[in-house]
Amino acid sequence: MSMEYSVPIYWRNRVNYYKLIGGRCKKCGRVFFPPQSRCPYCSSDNVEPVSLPRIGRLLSYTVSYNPPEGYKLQTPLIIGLIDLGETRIIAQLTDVSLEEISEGIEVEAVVRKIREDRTAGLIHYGYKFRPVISH
Amino acid sequence: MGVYVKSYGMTKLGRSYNKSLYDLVFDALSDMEGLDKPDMIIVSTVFTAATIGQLDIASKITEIAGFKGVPAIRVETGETSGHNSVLMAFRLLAGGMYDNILVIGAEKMTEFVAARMYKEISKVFDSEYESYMGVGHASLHALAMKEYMKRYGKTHKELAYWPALMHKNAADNPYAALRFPVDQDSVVKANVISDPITLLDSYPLVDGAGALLLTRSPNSALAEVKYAYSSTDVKPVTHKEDLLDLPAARRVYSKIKNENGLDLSVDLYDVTDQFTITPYLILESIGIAERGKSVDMANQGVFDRDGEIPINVTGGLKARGHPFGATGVYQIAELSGILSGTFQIQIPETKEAMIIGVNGLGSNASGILLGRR
Ligand SMILES: [Zn+2]
Repeated sequence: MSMEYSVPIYWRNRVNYYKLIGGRCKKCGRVFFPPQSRCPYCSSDNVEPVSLPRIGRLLSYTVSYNPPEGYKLQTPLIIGLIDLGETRIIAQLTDVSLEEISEGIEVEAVVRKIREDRTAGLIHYGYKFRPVISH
Repeated sequence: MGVYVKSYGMTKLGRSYNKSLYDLVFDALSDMEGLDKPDMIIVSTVFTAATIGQLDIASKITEIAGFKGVPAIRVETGETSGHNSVLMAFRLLAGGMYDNILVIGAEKMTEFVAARMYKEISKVFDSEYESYMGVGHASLHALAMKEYMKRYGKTHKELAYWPALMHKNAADNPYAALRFPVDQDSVVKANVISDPITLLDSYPLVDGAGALLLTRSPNSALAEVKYAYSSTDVKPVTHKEDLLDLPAARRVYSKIKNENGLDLSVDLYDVTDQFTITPYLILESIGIAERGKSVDMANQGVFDRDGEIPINVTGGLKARGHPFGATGVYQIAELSGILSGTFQIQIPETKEAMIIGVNGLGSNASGILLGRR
């Protein structure tokens, strides 16, 4: 059996995953996620990495009862569309029950296990968002 | 010099446990009339590297087809693979490079459990930031569907006119996978896949193979391929300016319209409708419907078989089935058959038909304009 996900790909992306690094275009000024070496809006290659805010607003979400293989233990999976101000991100929501969730709530990024690669004995981490706990 | 569809062949879509991909290709080719040795073979398939573990599958399929020695390549652009295969064939033929090209679309989507296929399918979106995070094909379309319903104040039941119509249209398509009727209420009440998308808002996983012989000779051809065009757009969904807009589809439609006269009178359309939301997004992006109005038009019967603008008259991806790499080939085969009066479904007076295929939420779009020979 081969590994499902490449270790080098994961290794290269891990900082983007953990620190929520997006891209900022120095030509048109727009911010985007995921980051890449060319601006998706004006196609300039004059882009720089930018740390995205870790707190955003939940614009919308869907509850997935038939997710792709590898996410069974986390089912149902809640997938959120989150507004981070200058850009948006699509990510899993965590630490929240279906009753507690609603559009418009504040959510914050956390590092969580995304999936396990049992054949390789690896655990892959990434970003998820959870409701901001108000005190 | 024109380009023509000389012949087509297909297998009935569904689960074929006792047939391999190659058996299905063999059956589809046996279903064709007047198949002589082509100058080239273009194979359209998306998942075969994962599902049956074969690379350079074009050569193996060419051997099965009985045309050993003929040059063969594979085209893969996700859900638009079949459309883009025909586009490549169209360009090569129109440019006079070849006289006959055989396009074969084939997919085997029931070799593994559904969850495994869902993982493969999720890769039509950005694999490192969307599929890696567990975000599936249905979930991204679910976010678009929710946004649409919110922005335009439409209900799930109103949107469900589409899948109900597709099941009705598939009833007399002998190649269709889902030939039973469903009503709008049962679509809404079916098991939820990724809310609001239910099982009946979604396409079935099927096996199937289809083939088209394209030629430069109009003699005894079924239909003319009048034009073909394709375009691309951003890959990650979060790079899109608007979740509900498909600029690549709009570019394809405008180009085909402009190149063929502004009074283009298309009688039939066939568009990607793997989920209930998708055809509405396409129709509004290309301008057949105003923003937020396509659902009302559907409910008024405009897109019915006997309506003003018939769309997906053979059941769509929704009910015919969506064998990814083969889907475009099925659409073009069925519409060629309707234009020539040889298909089991007859739409009299059809002169022009347009197919618009879209991958995911618009990263690739491809359009084919067919006319009567
Ligand atoms: Zn830019």
